[in-house]
Amino acid sequence: MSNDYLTIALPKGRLLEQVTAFFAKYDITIKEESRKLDYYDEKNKLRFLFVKNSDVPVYVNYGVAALGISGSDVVYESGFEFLKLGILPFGTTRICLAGFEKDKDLYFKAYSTGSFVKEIKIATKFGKFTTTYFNEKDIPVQIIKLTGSIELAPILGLSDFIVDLVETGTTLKENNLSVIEELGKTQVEIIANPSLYKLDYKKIDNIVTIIENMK
Amino acid sequence: MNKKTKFLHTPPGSKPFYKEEAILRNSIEKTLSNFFEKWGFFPIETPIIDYFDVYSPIFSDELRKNTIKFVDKDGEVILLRNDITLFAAKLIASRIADNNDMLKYYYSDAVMRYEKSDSLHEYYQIGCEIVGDNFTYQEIEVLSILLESLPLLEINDYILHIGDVSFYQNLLESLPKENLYKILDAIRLRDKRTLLRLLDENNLSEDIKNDCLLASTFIGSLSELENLGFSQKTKPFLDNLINIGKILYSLGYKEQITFDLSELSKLNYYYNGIIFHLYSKGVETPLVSGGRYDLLFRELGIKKCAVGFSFWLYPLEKLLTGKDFSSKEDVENILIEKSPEQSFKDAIKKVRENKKIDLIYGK
Repeated sequence: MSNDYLTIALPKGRLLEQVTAFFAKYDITIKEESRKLDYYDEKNKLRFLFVKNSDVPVYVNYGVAALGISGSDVVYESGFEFLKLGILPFGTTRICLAGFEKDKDLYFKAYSTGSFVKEIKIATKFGKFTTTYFNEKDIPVQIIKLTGSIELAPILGLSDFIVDLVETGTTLKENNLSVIEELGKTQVEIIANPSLYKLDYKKIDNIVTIIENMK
Repeated sequence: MNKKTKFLHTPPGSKPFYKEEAILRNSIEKTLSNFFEKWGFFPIETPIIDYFDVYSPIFSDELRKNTIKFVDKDGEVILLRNDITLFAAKLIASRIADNNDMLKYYYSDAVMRYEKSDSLHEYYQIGCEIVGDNFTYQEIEVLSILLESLPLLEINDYILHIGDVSFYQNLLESLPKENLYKILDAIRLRDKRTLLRLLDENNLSEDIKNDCLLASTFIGSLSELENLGFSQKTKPFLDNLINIGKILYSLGYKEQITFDLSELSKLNYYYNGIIFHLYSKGVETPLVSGGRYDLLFRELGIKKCAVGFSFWLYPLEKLLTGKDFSSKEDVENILIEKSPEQSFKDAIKKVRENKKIDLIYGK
């Protein structure tokens, strides 16, 4: 690996397609070749790492990558601290509390009166976010941490509700669930390792300026 | 965890040092301690535990959460040392009658914290501090010590970023402290969107807003700092940093330092002047953090000026792996075999003569 290259960790999957298309507009090419885990953009002296979405913060925190592109939800859950250099103009998603329609009234009634007989069980990938959110609202919750197929949890009686990212709501509908409350929005962030930024701020600022101006 | 696993491991976050690692740590410690003593600093040893109640009011929520506590047999909540500067400051604050002079001390010790994804971490800090009633050029002394210590550790590829929190404390003087710290955090994390939102929420004048935004992104040389287009009212708030910068330049440190107005700390409420971090290629966290922290003493109930810095041994050791700064003396092997008395006599004699030996035992 050459030291001249600025390393950027990118999340594999749907977000990567959007990022690739977005960078292509400014002549920054990202090619994900099958099974290859990195790609060098010789012209711009950039090295892209293709890693699992939830691992982007890990690579940046430990300095393997100076920059990372990641959902704000994933960054928050990681618990690591990063410089937040910018937001990309796509990938904004709602993070919602969802459940069966019949439980909606129960939730809001208890919510407005503050009288929760027992803690509500919530299945989610976003344990830290969900705990903090409901703690601040003084609502006692029990978190059941899942990493996929969250919608199954209320159907199988594992939890009362779920907290998950909702784009179109189709998956919820197909499972007879609906959004009960929008808890926040996640965005696609450009994060930086604070020390690596300070060592290479001119180059990083250039890249970020390009991205900011592309919006 | 079974007994064998426990035998082979130590709890997460702790790390034993063995052979080369221990030699490296020990040699760094000796190198820096000797160097601090050359500058007239004396050693200080802080206790490994102290009463949590004393520190609790001056901790942020995050810091309170990230400390390791337990209850002793009298029911007191005991805090495991989480920062040497802090424990040393309390030690000095509690012995104030004895402290009329300028105190210059150094330390080298471990601290324990919960950090990063809630794992426990043992850190090791080596640093020096100056505490006194009035300061003139003490920041220069501390920064000179830091910059002069680096060649001793063969650290060449580094940059020292220096900021000044007093600039914002003056510029945003009208704000309640809580709002100020939120703004400082957004600046520290270079989070422009949050910064813009906070500046709008606080109904600041356009001049102050613009000056704050201009400062928040600045990293550059002394002349670039001097030529930043601040409003007339704001300009004097930079005098402290510019004056320190001028002296550092005249001492020949121009290439090693950068002025960075986003160089702040998680503990902004302790600091009231320069804040600095030393970054080096090859490590992902700062090697050194330091600054001027009179406000910590004010929190502890006394009026003092204070400035200092700490090396963080984890990144330092990562950078210096394989090096050894201990003195390279010849070692004489002495074989203990048939006439042990004579061999031991030889050994004792040589050590008395200040020579280095290694006793080798025959079969």
